[in-house]
Amino acid sequence: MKSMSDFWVGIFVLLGIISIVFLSFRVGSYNTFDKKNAYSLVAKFENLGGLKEGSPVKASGVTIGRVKSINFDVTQYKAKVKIYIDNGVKFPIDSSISVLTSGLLGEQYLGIESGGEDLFMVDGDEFLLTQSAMVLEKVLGQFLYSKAAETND
Amino acid sequence: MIKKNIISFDKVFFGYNQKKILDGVSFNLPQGTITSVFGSSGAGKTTILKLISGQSFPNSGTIIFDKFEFSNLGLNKKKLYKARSRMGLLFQFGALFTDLNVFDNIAYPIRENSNLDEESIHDLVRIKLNAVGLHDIDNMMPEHLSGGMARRVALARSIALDPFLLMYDEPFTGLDPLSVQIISKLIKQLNDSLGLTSILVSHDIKTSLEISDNIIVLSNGKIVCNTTPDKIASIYGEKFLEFFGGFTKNNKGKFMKSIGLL
Amino acid sequence: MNILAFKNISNLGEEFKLLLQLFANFFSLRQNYRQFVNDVFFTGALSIIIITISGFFVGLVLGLQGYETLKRFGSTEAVGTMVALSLIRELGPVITAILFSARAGSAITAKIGLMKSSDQLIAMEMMSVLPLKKIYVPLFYAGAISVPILTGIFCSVGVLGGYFITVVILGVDSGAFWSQMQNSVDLYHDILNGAIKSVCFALVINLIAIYEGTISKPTADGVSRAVTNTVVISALSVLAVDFILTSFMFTGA
Repeated sequence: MKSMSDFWVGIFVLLGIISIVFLSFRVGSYNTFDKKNAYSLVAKFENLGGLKEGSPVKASGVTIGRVKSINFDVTQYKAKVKIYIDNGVKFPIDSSISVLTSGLLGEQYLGIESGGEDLFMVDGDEFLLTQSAMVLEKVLGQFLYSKAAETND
Repeated sequence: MIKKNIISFDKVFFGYNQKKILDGVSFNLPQGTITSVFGSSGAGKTTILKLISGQSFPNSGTIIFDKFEFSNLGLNKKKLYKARSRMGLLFQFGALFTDLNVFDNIAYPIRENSNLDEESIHDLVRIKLNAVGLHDIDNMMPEHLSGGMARRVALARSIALDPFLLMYDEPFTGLDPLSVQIISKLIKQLNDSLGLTSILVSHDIKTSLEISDNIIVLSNGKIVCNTTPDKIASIYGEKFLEFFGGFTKNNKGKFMKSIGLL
Repeated sequence: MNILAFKNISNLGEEFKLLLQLFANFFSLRQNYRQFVNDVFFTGALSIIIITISGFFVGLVLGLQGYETLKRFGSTEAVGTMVALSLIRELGPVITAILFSARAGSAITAKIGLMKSSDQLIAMEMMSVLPLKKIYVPLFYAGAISVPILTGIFCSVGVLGGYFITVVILGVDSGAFWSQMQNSVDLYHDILNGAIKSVCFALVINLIAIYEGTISKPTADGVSRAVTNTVVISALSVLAVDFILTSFMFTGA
């Protein structure tokens, strides 16, 4: 026995589904990073800043990978970061990777600048050149030091 | 011929928080009889109904209903439900389901306790409605019924499963005099024609006396009187009418209605 | 003072017992399917209007406030992000829950309280029907499923409201609005967490609504007091639970 209330319940559920789909795809980023079509590389940093697992890895502003895991390397006293990179994207062995901040209030991500060598990095390789996150206190310290040096001249 | 007792109360004590509501109550309800329970408000009349229907359990003593025994240990759910399916309870003011129409109200216990098909249910509801003298109100909602009609629908609902014990909690309260007469006649009729046993709790002594086979009077948690209506007049005579009927002798020796019972 | 604390703590215990009973009887929904659908209508479908309108207005205000604030940093394109994240992470679940308890929670409590005061619940028990299975379980799960759906609707409409005020009225770039938003709103971190919040709220406020109904005094004053309690206690509980959930969902790593 179908009644009017059934109709409105149907509409209600339909609206719910539409809004969930809308939120997931139009509002949010559907982060389907395909781990199967990716290879991994390693990078070691002095300081990671606010980098997290899942943070994006970008080259020329385009997201081509994700941070897979973050560990502390006890032998070198550095942060050891494993990243996934899309299979189709290859980087020369002298490429550099840096911890960058997107915008003024933004999150941190890894940016890769490709080098010029002919050999490319393969699964498991480690970046030779890394640039840590800028730590505000250190930068200020450097600035104040250089200012002090200036006035002494 | 020894009549079977449908209900037996044996030294039942019930109370909580130091307050004693029933203080060693024992009585029997023989099959086929209508028993009225009188007493002042709070004397424990409704408590008796609650104990019979298993809403509460006695602190000590036993209550036997048919082959079910209610003691202070309670009763397991299955047995309790089985016992309840043999009882009907007419609540004060009816307690009809306000969201359902008359038909669905009466059909409710049938649908919940059996697997009958809709046609059989339809016939059964029809029979119950006729038994209380109502027709053609199947689709009406409880809020649109008059007090007397609503009470009768509730009565039809309480006999839906053909119980053999019927309990009435203040069945005459809040009704106009005509409806009171209709209900009291129905109670008697149903009891006799269906071979039921009835127990009713009421403040309306006159009406109850007219249809009862037994009277039980409660006072301070004890039964002070357990007899038949005709014996009451002969044993207690004027004293009874004075005490319960709300009549007092004025200075001319005539009985007048006094204000404030018990 | 002691009696008050004792009463409240034993209420909490009874409430938890009720929750366990509601979980245990989940499968009785199958037999009372009709009642369940009616209850989804009663709690959810009837709340669509209040949620949609509120969501739109909240979105408008968020957009407006966000625009004014970000204007000072010259980052008005981030307003889409701001509106979306505020809604999905916090305002959506919390405001929906509070509005729901005001509209539907109070209705649930009133319904049960009224049935209690007119002896309908006892009448059911006399017919060997458990009010738990017939009334409370369908109402609980109907409400519990309505809240997340309503939250989703609230957030979506809110984003549209934000879009309307910032892009259509204030002239923020439409492309920037959506793309910035998509870059910052993560399906797992934000949307899933928001959904988890709304499910937690759903369980809490529906439990409170039903419980208050079952312990209401069978008088006019009793029922009205129970309804007030539902709305007040639900609101406070939602805010408290929100704090707890936020502190381990959205802070640190």
